[in-house]
Amino acid sequence: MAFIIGIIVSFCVYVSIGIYLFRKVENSEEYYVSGRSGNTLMITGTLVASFLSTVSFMGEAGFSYDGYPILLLILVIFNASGYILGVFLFGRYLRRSKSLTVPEYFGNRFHSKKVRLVAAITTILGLAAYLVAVTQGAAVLLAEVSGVSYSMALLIMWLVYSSFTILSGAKGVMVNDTIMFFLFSIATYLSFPYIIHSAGGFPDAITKAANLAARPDLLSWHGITGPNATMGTPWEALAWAVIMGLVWGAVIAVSPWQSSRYLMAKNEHVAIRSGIWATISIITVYLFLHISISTIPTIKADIAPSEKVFIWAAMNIVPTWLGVIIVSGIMAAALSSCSSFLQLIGSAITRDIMEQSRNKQYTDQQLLRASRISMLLISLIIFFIGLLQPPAVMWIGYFAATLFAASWGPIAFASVFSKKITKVGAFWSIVAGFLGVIIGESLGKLGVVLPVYFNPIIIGLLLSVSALIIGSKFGVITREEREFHARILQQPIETDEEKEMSITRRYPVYLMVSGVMIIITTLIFYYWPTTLAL
Amino acid sequence: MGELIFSFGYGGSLIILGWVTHFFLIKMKRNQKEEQERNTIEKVGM
Repeated sequence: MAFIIGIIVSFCVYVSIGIYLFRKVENSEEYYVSGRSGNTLMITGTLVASFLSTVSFMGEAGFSYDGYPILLLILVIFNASGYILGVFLFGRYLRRSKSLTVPEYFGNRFHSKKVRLVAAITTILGLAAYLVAVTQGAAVLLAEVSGVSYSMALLIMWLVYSSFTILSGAKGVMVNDTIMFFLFSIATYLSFPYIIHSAGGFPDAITKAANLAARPDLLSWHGITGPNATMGTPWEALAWAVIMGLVWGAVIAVSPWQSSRYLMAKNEHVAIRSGIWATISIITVYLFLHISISTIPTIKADIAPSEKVFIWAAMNIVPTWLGVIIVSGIMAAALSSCSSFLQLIGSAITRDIMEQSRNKQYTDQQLLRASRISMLLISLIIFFIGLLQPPAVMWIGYFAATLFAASWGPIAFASVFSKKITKVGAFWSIVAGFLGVIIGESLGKLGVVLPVYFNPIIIGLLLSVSALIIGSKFGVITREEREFHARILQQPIETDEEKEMSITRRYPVYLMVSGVMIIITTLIFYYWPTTLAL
Repeated sequence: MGELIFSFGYGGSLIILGWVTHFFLIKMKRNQKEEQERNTIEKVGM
């Protein structure tokens, strides 16, 4: 009962914020990019909240529980880097463009409606798949906790995230994301000592997990490997983690649900600082979450499906008040991603497809109304797909994310750093990357086993880069493209630039100090207890 | 051995990113100075 009350209260808070901010949204800039008024805390909150979802707290937690916590953390080393490299190599230039959507940036950069359209279509297809996966994960959780049927849980989820997103747009999404960010971060940190205590206390819980007969190599750097395991050999496991880490790093750097957050930042310094705090948050949250999850097999080794491991812990081994925070935190992680995805899909449909294809300029009020209607329709379609398709939280999430790494990665960086890319190259690069991942995944579904270094994402990336190079041999670069490119390369000078810069220059120190603290934490809570197991 | 490398590498990645950020910011500061100098020259020229 306490879990249900906790969830209802949190849902009421999110919807109330949506209703309250509905009246504050006066124009399309506020609806799409929250009036470009986001401060460091809010941009960090929305970056992390829209990234972490049921894929993290259910799919990846299950993967950890199955035997790969450290491998997953190796992956995180590379993906978290995507925030810093992303904001410096793409995000801040995107912000300078003053676009309302990322497809709009691509369209303006290459002075091409076709490029904008194809970027919008990939946004809609990729994010719709991801939205289905995350909504399903949250519905599974809600059904488990509340005892309602899966379809009823899906309906409740749909009602909550679509209501506040449709009403308040980016403004409500940013505020709710920040609240949700705190909620699931607190859930992760507070659950750590309780789970470790239940598993036998420190350091015994971790030593026992490292020695567990049912999961040999659970806490080794490569996890469980061998003929019957998910990973063949330790080196294959490492290759998988590095490749997927780099892919997710690219996703963080260029994907619409991450890079678009910089469009909401008050200035460039806020964008950079937020990228840095997001990196530190992801590294810390993942460390505590996966070390604690890895000790749960010592308490119960047969949780099925393993995706429910953190929920099981919330309901069985931590005090009820903390269980309520954990369950509400996982729901928050799911809702924050759902709302960001829905907001981006709605923006892409209205601003990048409808407005462009009809070749007319909407008034602000027409644009707001059209955005809300398209969000409502797309959320209904997502709801019905979620109802008809079986849930597959981690697989669809990973698939949808890799689509963006392949189709948007090369063109996003080239749009900033190359003067030779033409609209032909840009268009075919997005198409080829997208199709490459789909073809690679389809081969897998047909039973073709590809080696780990020839992952569908690699196929997509190779095709995308080739198309970019070959395609750019055709077409000419217009004056508008040159001017736009020159404009985004020009560094903005803020009114209080000296002060802003002196604050931002402290951030490398924050990163390094956090790094030292993380090393000490990892040595104490991981390395030392595992050496006791030898 | 792999476990020890991981223990240093996980937090160590933040230290490396700290240096990366430091170099990006130095470049930003340099660009900023150039931009301000250019603006001053343009104003004087007017």
